[in-house]
Amino acid sequence: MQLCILVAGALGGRFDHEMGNINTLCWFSTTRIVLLSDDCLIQLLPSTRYHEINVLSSVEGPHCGLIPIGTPCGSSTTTGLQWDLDNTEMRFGGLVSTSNLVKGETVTVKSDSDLLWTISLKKQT
Amino acid sequence: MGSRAATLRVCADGGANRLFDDMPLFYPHADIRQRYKPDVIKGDMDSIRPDVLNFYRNLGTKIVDNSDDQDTTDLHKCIAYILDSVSDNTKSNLCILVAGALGGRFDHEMGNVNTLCRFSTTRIVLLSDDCLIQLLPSARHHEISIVSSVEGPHCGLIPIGAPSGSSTTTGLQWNLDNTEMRFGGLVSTSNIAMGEMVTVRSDTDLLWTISLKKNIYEVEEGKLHDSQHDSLS
Repeated sequence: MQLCILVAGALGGRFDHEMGNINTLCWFSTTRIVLLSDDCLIQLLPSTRYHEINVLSSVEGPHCGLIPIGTPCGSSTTTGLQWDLDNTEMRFGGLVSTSNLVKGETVTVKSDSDLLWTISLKKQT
Repeated sequence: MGSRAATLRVCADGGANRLFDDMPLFYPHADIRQRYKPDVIKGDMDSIRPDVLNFYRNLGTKIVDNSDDQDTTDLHKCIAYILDSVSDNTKSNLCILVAGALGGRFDHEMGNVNTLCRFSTTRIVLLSDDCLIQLLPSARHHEISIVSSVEGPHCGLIPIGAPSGSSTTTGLQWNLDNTEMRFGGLVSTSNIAMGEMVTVRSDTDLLWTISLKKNIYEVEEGKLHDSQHDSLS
């Protein structure tokens, strides 16, 4: 399936709307959907797969994060970040990877639970 | 949100820039920056402009540099500072309002939400122009008063960190009744607060969010009374 759905105006404004949109990513977890705002994008990384994320440094980064949305994560491992995870637990109330930085062109992620990947977008002049 | 002035005003370092730049835009009053100076600016100091730092330092604001601690967010540091600064007596009545907590980068938002979860025994309200968020810790009966002149009707309950096996509410258009909630399933969004009181009980921590009405910060032209305005804290 080559489909990628981009959703503009998906963030900012009411928090319950944002959460509703994120829940939609989770409902359609087998479809590649990208939520976009002026400041950043969000994608779901399903737990079932090993993820290789290409970072286009002319338009995105370096600020990024991995969010254990909806369920704690017993083990996540990454490469390509300033603060990589190494079989690390993440959960709300404990560690959540925010204000991280991408170090190069590829970030890899593997986790035992669904994560949200978020990366900042550069202002375009 | 009451009309008493804040007991203690703390800025994260990037917030100090916003305070310095934006307050005169809203209140073109000669000494507005002095009247709304933070008591403390705290953080890793990577966002604050040198001119802003010097301005508030000269006004007597305490500057606390935590650039050696990269494991917690600036908001986390500010809240830890506030809790250290107040007596145990005050702690039980404490309510911390966080302005500018939402919008912008999503990872910052989630970092701020995580701070609510980490300080789950402290009442903290995240504020934006559009809405507020509070944590409702699990296994407690919550009674939420709705001040309809400033908040609502749009609201939601979010099982942010773990699925909920059972949540029950009253006072909403679409109440939960021993209902399961989880990401990938049901999450209560675009709900409506029906009256003056919403009650919530859940087996897991939930985020309560409610919209804020526009134009709740109107001021009389040329007049500023301390009793009318909540300070950033």
